[in-house]
Amino acid sequence: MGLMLQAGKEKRVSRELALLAGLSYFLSTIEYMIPKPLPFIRLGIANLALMLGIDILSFPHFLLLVFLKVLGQAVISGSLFSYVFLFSVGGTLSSALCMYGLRKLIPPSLMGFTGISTVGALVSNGVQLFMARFIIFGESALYLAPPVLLFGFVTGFALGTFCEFFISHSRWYHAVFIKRDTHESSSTF
Amino acid sequence: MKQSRTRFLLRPLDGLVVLLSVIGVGFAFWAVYEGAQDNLQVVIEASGSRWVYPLSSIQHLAIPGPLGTTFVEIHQGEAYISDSPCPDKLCVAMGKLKKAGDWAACLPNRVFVRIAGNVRQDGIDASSW
Amino acid sequence: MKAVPPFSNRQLFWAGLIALPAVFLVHTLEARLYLWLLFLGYSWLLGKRNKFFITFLVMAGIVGANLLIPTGKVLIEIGAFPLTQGALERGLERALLLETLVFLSKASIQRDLVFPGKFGALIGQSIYYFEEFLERGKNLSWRTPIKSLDQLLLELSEGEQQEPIPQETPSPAATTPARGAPAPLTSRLVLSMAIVLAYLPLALEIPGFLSW
Repeated sequence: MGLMLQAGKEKRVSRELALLAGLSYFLSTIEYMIPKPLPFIRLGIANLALMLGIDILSFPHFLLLVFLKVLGQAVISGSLFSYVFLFSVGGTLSSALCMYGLRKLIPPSLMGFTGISTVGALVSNGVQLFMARFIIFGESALYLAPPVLLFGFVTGFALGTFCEFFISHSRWYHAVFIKRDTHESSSTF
Repeated sequence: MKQSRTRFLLRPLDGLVVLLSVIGVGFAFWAVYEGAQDNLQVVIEASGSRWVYPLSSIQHLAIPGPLGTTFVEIHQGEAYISDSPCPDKLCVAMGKLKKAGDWAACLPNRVFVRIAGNVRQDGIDASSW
Repeated sequence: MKAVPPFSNRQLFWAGLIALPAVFLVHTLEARLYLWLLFLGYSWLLGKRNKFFITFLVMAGIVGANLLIPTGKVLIEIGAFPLTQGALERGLERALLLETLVFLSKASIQRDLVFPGKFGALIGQSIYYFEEFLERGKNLSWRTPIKSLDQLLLELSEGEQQEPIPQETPSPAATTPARGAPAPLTSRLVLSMAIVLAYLPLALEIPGFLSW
């Protein structure tokens, strides 16, 4: 009986993981279709999937989600072998770790996803600028930093606010936790 | 009731993050675009052409002139003429250029080397030649 | 009907991986331009369409950013700002490198690249959901984004039946070439030629035969 429950839990977790990963690909696709003045500027809409995963997934699973997101994006856009992939990994990984850390260290009553997402976006852009300075831009990366950071701030704030609103209204989100609590309480029998 | 209200508002640390970010980004704008950035450049003029290099770079340059090649080096924040096909080598003796406004020139070979401030100033200087 | 390239995903992946160092190891403008053209042709022959507008924009952006730090002989002046040859070349070198990698990458990574093992199964599952999202995404409305997204997520997390059960996928050795490929020898030959062409500039650099 215990084994069955264990397998059920594994399957459920992997399903949520895959669902969020799929969502991140979907959001990336949407972002890809939005015409942008400069190809470098990324809105980071796909990070919504990561933020939703922070509370739902355990840390190892969250890391897996981040990895899936980055890898999947690279395969879908075919950029696995290029610097674009490196930038993506650098930016997404560092920002995901920061966001996860912030969420776990600071109680939600003090900081919601608005702040978390803003920090995440700034970290992501900062890391990418840093990498770009060495790989494609050289010292001139410094000149590009302020507007990029400003854009990151705005998009991070907007996405975080949306995420907060979403969480407070989402039935799906709450259902995930309820299912988990129900299963955990029944497994003690 | 109060609990559901606070979900919509900006929480304290959210606000702090926003504040710090605004200050940080504003500072970034100021520091990069307005601040006292040491943007020193080495400007070399010869044979109707102009060369511009950051003073912080490392360059070994061969500048052509009517008499031959004047060699200019840029290294460790200093620029200087290392050799020139002129009889007196006065230009070499002019030594190392470091600050804005420093200059050296090889008149026989018609090569002028100077240190310019940031680019906006440079435009004004150029027009005063 | 789009012609299907007769190479297997695995072959393309490995060919791309092997050719990769060749792209990184050259540093001259001419060599990078050559490789850029080579892989542009390579990805085009493989049926990968390239959005040239984006390529141009990205390259212009990199060159533009590099031009911001003047280095070298002044070519033109915009107002008081000098556009220099050295900066231009440096920008072009970097832009060409980046785009070459993008071409190579697009050509070598096919969308249905199969990863082995449990992880591969997870990826497969993720892509299943991705496709579900793509299909049902039309139901999302801009006016009630939260509600419609939530609805979509609920639908997907409730659908138990259609979902693929994560299983170990067979190891790559068992993967057959995609869609009725011709004799593997021919495709290997073609890919090997592409690799040799990619390493050509590097080979020429060594004995120093370049006379330009």
